[in-house]
Amino acid sequence: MTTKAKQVIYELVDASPVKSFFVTMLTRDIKLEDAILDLLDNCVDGILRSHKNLKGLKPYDGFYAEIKFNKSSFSISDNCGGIPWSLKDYAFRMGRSEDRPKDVIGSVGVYGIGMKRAIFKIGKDCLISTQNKIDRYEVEITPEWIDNDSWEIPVKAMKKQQYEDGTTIYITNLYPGIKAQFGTDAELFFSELERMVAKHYAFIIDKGFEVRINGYSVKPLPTKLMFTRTSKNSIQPFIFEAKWDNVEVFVTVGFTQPIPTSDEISDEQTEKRYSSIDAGWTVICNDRAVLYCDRTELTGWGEAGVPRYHTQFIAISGMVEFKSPDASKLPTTTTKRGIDASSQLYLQIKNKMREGMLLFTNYTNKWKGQAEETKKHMANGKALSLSEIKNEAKSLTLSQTKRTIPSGRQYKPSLPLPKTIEARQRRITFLKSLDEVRLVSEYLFEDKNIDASRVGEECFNIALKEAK
Amino acid sequence: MAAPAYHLRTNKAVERLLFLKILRKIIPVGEMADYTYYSFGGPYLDDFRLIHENFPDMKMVSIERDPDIFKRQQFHQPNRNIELLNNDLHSFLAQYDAGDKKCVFWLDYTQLEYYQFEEFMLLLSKVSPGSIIKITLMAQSSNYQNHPNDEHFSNDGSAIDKNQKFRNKFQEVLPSSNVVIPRPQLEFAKLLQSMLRIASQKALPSSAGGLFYQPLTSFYYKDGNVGIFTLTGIVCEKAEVSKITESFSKWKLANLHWKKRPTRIDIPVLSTKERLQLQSYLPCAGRDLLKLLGYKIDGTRSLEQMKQYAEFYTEYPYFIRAVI
Repeated sequence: MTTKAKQVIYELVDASPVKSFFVTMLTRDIKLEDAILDLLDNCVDGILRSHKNLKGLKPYDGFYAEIKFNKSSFSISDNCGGIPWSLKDYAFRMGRSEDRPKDVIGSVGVYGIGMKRAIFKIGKDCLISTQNKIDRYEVEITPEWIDNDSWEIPVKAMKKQQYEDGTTIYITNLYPGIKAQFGTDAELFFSELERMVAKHYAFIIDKGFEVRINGYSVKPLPTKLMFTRTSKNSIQPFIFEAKWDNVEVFVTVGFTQPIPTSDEISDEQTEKRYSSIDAGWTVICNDRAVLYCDRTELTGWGEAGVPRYHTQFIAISGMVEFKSPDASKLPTTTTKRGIDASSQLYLQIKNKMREGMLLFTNYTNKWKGQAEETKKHMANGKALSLSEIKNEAKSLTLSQTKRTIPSGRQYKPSLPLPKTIEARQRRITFLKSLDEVRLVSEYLFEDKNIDASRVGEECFNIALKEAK
Repeated sequence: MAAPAYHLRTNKAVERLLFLKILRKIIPVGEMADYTYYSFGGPYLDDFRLIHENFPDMKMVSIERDPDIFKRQQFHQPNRNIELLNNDLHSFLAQYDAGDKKCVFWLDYTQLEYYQFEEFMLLLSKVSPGSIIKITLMAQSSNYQNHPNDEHFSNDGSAIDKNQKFRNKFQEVLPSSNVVIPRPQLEFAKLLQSMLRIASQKALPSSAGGLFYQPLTSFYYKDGNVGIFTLTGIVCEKAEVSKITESFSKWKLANLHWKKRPTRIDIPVLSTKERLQLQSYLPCAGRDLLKLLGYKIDGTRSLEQMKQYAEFYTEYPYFIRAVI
């Protein structure tokens, strides 16, 4: 028996995006703190857009962003120039349109999702008020707008003129998880956000920008590397600088503190003495830290002769700065809080990062067990921030690199190494009860709290003297 | 460092008796067998003896890492209800599974290290609602102050900044990353209290729903020459908080809000004769006690000291010399 097939008319199908999908999916892979940093990035981009002649050591002086949060609302307001009406499509569209005016020099925004993603992450009701010269308008995002199919957002003129050009984003109707973070767990959230801003925005705050969180003005927490002016038998950082495809690159790596003693290493391994470790690489793109204290293969640890990260390398830190007027040339990910590991430029620079890092892992390994001895290498040294190192680099003799791509100039410090050839040395390690170590320590040094390795070494020296 | 015996540590002895008061307020007589008491005990297991006297049906577990102290504990074991373990807390917590059983935990640390916050957080995440967690930390702010003549510190940043070292160590639980380490003991105790608050929020985030660590008391005092801070709280469902705080609201030594300052314990040294003289007038104000004595016992601090006595005299132990 045959059945007559129903005639199907093939026609265009609806492949348009579903708005609620965007709202939930966009926000899923970003942490709340990162989303708020995206909003801060927009503030700084606003300064770069509206003030073209920023110069000097404190180009952002006088500009601020103020974050306020509580259990029922979140707001961020700035005096960073506001959003020009001509950029409305960039600011409010999901994603960046190709024909967008290219006037934001030195920004980090590329994909055009930062502000929207942050808003959708936090709450359902949002009012964006902005003033840029003669433009003064408000955009309101409501739960109804999120639920309907239209992608158009109504805009209305803002009646009251603001004292300064800038933008305020005010979000209410918070999602339950966010409400808990801003309410019951407010102290924890404040502490985490403040620390993140202090670290990731250290370079911008150092240049005069002010970030206030619930009234507290955040102070920068920059990474500082030891630098001694006398280059012989002392500690200086490795430096490499280059320019490639409109991107300026500056790499530096060195020690933040003296290398740890054997006891410090073993203490840290048995009982965690430090809540977080500031060792590793920080990558900065157009003044913003996109990666902080990374100790993985992403920054060259455990690759090409560089050992994997271990507590003994706790004193090693490095910084890489990428600067470009064209944000799309920077090796960042869409979240702007990560590195695009496949970027051609980054892969080349990573070679230099490893080259520099190797000097310091090698030094640490060679002086292992003699950490006390190395403290004199840092005597009279100063801990310098990235901008201070860049300044010091001007007085150093940098040599031209020949075989590297991109070619550039570098300073390779000659770090002091132990005199005796290691092949003629042997390390002695043994485990003894703490009571006995203290007893011997008191017997030898009249102080029971001398470093165990020193106690052991002294015992050997006494036996050696007798044996000779 | 061996800690002195309890009978030489008046402030700690008073604080320990206040802890028993909290337990009596929370644990109904008929439910004491539902709880297990865990602590570090020390060589004489003094706190275990007190717990047993007040809560005879409560099971008790002592966790001691030092094998020699463990042997002394075996020697001093005051009753059969105590299980003595020769283990460190971290290893113990790795195995610990409370199930539905309530517990009373006293993390009685003698130092201040970050791993202690980690153990506190790990414990909070493991215990069942109704459990009481007390943590004691060394609160010696002078350990973190920079002295101009200190060989480890110089202003050019070339050497170790003790303030910075503290910030590096405790970064994850600090209220703000650039916090200045205060010198006064009260301010330092307040800093530790807010660090424990952040740690408790990390361990029991309200976004995960469910449990909450409600503070009940917080004290600071000197134990010999060493500053100490101690906080007691209860892990409970959010809905239970108001019921619990209600039962403590009339007790003026309670500290039910994280922002409230910790209470100081600073018991004056009074002779037995002086105490017997004052006894019949108590309770009364510290000012009246000073008048009754008719002389100062500690210069300008005398009034403050007598206020302390008026506050804590019921917990002040009598030490009598005995020949055995």
